[in-house]
Amino acid sequence: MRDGPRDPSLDVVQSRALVPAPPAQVAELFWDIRAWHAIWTKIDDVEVRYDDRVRQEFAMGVQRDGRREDVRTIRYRRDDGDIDFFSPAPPPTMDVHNGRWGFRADAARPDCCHVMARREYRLIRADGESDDAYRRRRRDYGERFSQRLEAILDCFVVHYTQRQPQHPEVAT
Amino acid sequence: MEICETITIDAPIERAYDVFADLDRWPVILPDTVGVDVTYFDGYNQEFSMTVERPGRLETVRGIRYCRAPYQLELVQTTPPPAMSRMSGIWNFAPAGGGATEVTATRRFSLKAPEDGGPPISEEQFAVKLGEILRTNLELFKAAVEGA
Repeated sequence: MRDGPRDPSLDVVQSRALVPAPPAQVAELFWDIRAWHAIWTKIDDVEVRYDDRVRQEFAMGVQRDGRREDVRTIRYRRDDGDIDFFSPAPPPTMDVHNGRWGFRADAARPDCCHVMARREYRLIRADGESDDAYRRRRRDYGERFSQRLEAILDCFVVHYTQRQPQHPEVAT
Repeated sequence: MEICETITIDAPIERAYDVFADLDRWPVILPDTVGVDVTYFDGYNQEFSMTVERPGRLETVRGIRYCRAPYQLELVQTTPPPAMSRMSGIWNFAPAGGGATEVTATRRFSLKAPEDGGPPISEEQFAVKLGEILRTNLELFKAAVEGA
């Protein structure tokens, strides 16, 4: 994911959560995309096509808004442990989809990790869609996408605590 | 196994970087490259496939490049040449004084075992051959940049 000024045509959603496990352990679980299937139940299937522990390519079938989306993503593990990614085959509603998972230690709680999720994306504009309609759709989609990120992060919290999810309507 | 070659190009860093970054120019610069297809590029992340001539056959690799203009291009071949199990690399660009640019190319690779399709030579011997190819390619890019 490129640092620096953002393309103004892209929308951004972000979320964060405190996950009760050390950063290195959490980052490793986020890298292990095959393990996600047991944590984030929206995933239908995953095929890892390349993985050298720094770069990774996978194809994933995932449920969103009641239908299956097929996405192909390339991930890059940075020197600081964060995971950048982009999707050369993005969700069908988008023509750009990239992001970052960030992992930060909490000095007061070394057994915990702040996980930050960021997505940059651009919704494909429909033929004849008015400026107002596109703006509303971007706003509504962004709200749902933000809730989805919260739900994903909450699933990882649940994974480590075995408590009930806080977003059952999104997470199931 | 890692190899590294360096060359000084008599051109500003931006011009040197641009020529290495522009995959559409590679078939013009490198005589063994017969085709390049950039399948994704957002200004930073780039996905491509490239077909090169090898004795008696064509080889097609797929790869990703991270384009950090004008200082670095980082490469990983998610589908490396048939004899390799891993192939990645970096081009670093640094001002060399007098308006010139020092280009350092590194390659990190692993070979398949001979019974899995790897070559019947050691990685050290292969590294010597790969280093010669890397050196030749840098010379060709130098000529292309300085002649531009």
